[in-house]
Amino acid sequence: MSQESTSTAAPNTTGTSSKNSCLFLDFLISVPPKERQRMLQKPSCCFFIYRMLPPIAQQVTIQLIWKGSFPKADDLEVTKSIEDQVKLLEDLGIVSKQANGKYLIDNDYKRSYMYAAMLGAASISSLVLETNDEKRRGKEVEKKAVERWDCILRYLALPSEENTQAVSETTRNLFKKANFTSGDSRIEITTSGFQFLLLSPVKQMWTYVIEYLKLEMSQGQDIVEVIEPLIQIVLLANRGFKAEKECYQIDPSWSIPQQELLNHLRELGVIFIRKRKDGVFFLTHLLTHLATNETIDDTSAERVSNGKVIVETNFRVYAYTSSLLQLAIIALFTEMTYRFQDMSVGMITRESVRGALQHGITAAQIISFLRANAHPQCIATSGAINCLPITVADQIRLWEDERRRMDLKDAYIYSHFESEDEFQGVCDYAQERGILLWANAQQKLVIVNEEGHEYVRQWYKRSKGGETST
Amino acid sequence: MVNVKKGVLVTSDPAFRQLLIHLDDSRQLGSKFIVRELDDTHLFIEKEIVPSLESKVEQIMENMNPETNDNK
Repeated sequence: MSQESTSTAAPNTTGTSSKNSCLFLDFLISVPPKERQRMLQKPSCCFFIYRMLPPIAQQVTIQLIWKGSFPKADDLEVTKSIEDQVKLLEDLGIVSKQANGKYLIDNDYKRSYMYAAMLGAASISSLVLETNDEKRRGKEVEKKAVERWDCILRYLALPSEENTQAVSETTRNLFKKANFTSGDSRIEITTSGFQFLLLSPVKQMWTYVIEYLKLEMSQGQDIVEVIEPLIQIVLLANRGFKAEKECYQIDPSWSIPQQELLNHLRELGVIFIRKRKDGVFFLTHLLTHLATNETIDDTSAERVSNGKVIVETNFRVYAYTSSLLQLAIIALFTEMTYRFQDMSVGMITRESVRGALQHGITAAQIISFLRANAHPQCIATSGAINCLPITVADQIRLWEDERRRMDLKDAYIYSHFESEDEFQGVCDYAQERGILLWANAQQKLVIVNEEGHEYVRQWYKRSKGGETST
Repeated sequence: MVNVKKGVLVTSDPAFRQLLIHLDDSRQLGSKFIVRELDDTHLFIEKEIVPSLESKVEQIMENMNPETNDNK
């Protein structure tokens, strides 16, 4: 048994050994332990957390729940990645280390998980399925859902009068708080706002939701109260769920913050409500974005949205789209030359890319955006990576590197040490604390980073009560 | 007695470091700013000079890059 599970865990290591990048889990770690414990008591939350965990962490929890222990791997690299995942679970409060070195799974989590696993995702969400009523559905739910989401992105990309009115006050506030926009009367997009626009849809939606939760939390709102219905709705997006076909009752007993959340999801286009008095909501396809585990390669989700951009080796860009949003994003790093009804032409130039870089967009973001939005024909002929010509990708990276000729770090330099021992002592200490930037034994110089100065001062006080002159 | 000084550690390639040393020697920024030349890729400089140094460097790099996209 143990043999088998280690070998099944092994192939995943390359995928998950990278830093845990799941926004939801990161957020969960930041939630105060007391609140988190209350979440672990809810079967729906537990089940959802389980789904969002990276594969190895899932294995570990399952083993702990059923066997009370998890197998050790003999491969050093695998052991390391298991340790990382266990650390993640500890941070989440799901497992805790006992005095004897054994790991123990949280009792609440165990109970809730088992309860949820028996019932299945749909039933634990405890939302009431209503009979579908054509009249209440309205037309073109899917199109409207996408429009809603586009509205929000467009507000960020092109903050004009008209676009501003299309989004709610809370969204505007949220973007401001998240530092995506700045300025009071005239809204301007910030660096992080630009970066947000270039993210994949899955990441964008999660970022939005997490920022919303943070906003609620900063206003002293009980986070569990809001997060539970959110998770319940997301859990409805089972594989093969029928978007637009199923409608659910809006529970009149939901509190005001919970109703607010519903409004927000409606604005995102994740759920569809024709009229508030109908008392029901429909799920749309956008919900699958939220139900996707971000740690699992999200290119599959991106591939679904067929790209419309062709980049040629001569740096010309053809965008077969009339979407203002898409064009606005492309115009961030391209010099647009012609605009036709359903197609626009631009040019990637040094100036245009530098302009984007000065806004804080990275070359990697531009490249991944162009790849993710490549025209299906480009992908068919040259593959998922080479759909953006290598020359162009390399040049964009070179343009970025050219701005990074020097790397500046605030620092403190120590010179004129009294003795070899003193130099060695400071040097070793700085190394140990990870504050050392540069040192040289011949010149007897030590450079530590800005916060390191205080540590070194303390070291001096401790080691001989000596004074440092500044 | 050990000496402490606050400043900025610059990490760059050797060629670029030479440019900085030239700027320092010729006092193009009004004063000398290099505190210590550490090794081939590191310099320690005054913190106050950083903004004017950055804009000067930007300007020099611009001059070295003539408009290349004539294929428009």
